[in-house]
Amino acid sequence: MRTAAVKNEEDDEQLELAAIDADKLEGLCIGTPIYTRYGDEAQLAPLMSTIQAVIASFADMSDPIRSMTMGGHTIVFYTSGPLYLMAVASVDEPAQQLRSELAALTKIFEQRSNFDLRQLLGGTEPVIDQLVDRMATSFAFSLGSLDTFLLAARPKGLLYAMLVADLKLVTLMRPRKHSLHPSDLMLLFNMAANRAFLTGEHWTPVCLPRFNDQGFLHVYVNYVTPNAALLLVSADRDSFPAMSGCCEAIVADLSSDGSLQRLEDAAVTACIASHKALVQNFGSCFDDSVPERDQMRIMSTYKRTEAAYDAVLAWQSSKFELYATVSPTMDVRMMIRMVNNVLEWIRNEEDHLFIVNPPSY
Amino acid sequence: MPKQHTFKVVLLGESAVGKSSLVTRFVRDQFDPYKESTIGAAFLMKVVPIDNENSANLHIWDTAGQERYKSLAPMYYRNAAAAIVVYDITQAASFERAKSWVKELQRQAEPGIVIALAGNKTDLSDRRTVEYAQSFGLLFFETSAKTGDQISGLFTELAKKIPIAAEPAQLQGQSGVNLAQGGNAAGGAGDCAC
Repeated sequence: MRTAAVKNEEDDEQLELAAIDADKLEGLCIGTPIYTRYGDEAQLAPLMSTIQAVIASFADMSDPIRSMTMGGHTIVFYTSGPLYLMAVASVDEPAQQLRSELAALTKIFEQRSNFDLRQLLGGTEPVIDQLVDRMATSFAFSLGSLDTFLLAARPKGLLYAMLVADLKLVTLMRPRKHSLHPSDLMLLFNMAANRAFLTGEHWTPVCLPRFNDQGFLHVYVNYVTPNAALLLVSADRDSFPAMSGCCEAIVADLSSDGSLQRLEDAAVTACIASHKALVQNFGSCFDDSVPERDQMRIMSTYKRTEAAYDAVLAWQSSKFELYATVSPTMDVRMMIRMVNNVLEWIRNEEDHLFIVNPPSY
Repeated sequence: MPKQHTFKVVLLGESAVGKSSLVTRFVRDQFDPYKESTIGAAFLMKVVPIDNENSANLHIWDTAGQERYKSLAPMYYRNAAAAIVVYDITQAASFERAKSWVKELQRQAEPGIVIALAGNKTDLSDRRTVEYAQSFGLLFFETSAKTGDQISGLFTELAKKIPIAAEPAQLQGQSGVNLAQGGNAAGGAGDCAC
């Protein structure tokens, strides 16, 4: 997905993302731009009124507008209560994917409708920007499952304890009966990736909408290494000292940093496997040799493949989804043989690649 | 070896006045001009000498300044032995906000709490809009997290002003685990500001 402001006509491989807070109470279509991925939302007012006019004219027909195609651009609308979200993409990304990305965003925006969301969002723009950027390049969001790392430690903690490295779940400890939904974890990881957390210990309330959209949990965030953060989630807002002590014990426990095994087959440019039951992904990272532009293209192809089209090898079964991109010169038999090898390797290494049995209590 | 006393210190004030920068300068002697907004609150510790026999282990809570975090403040200033209320000398509104924080602390925090008022960003004194403030009988400093001006003075004087008796009986293991104490119930429904 390419993104940016509509104003930027020259760079047409970009997308604009905007949310409007329409004041439904007064029945007026005068909306307030709340957030835009590119540019300053305050300067987008004229555009916003156009968007509202478009949405409103379709709403009258009791068949709300979902998406439209204009030249090379796809424009997707998503309305959630008083919030209107719009995404404009010029890469041929399926409308369905864009909608699901917008739907994920509303989870942040939709909490309260009758006051100025911008005030609530103050200071969180970097977090939302990050979230949007990540949706464009991460498999996790499009597959609705989590990237994993290798299993490392068995910490003791309160509600949930997790070690997150580079946005990937290293290990998770949870109560037997309550697992956290991937979308909540992604919000948590995305927040924890904020630079503000890099030094020191942090204690902040968060709302995990899939867990409970009416209340807070409290999260202890501490970057135990420059790339790995320990997140401890507690229901008790006064448990900071306990969390801090717990973190200290865990860090002492993690004496050696486990070496990471990566799936790196020279011929496989990129491969991603998603374990359906465990809602976890394992994949090779894009090699640095693959330019960002190609990464975007491959992501977009994967997303379309998910909606069942052609191109790259996609394999969906009841247990897993596997997407692989190979060099275009390779013949089909060779490709299948290689993918079979990869699959077998993944099956053999399942215990290592995925977090199959997270410690619970 | 001086006797070490643990005190909880909380920083309050409008967003972007430099609370985190102040603490970072004091604890790590670092300054980042592009610091991102604090989320929730950050916890840092530093030991400062008080006199020949005593030193203070300051447990510092650096809170987020945005309006939406306001209802969380009591959780951080509860049981605090001292508070530093920060404003930006180039932003008159932040000084007004500081005054209301001082009032809130005097009304709702521990009765003996030591409050310091800090006018930050003296490096921008050519854009000053708040004159050297009356200190309202509080400890008062004008500081610059950027240059380091008056930072250690602020924390050291603050530590010296805290009565040693203000040290909580069971030290940190228990910075208030009583759920019934806070103004609003823990994890209260409908309280979500995310």
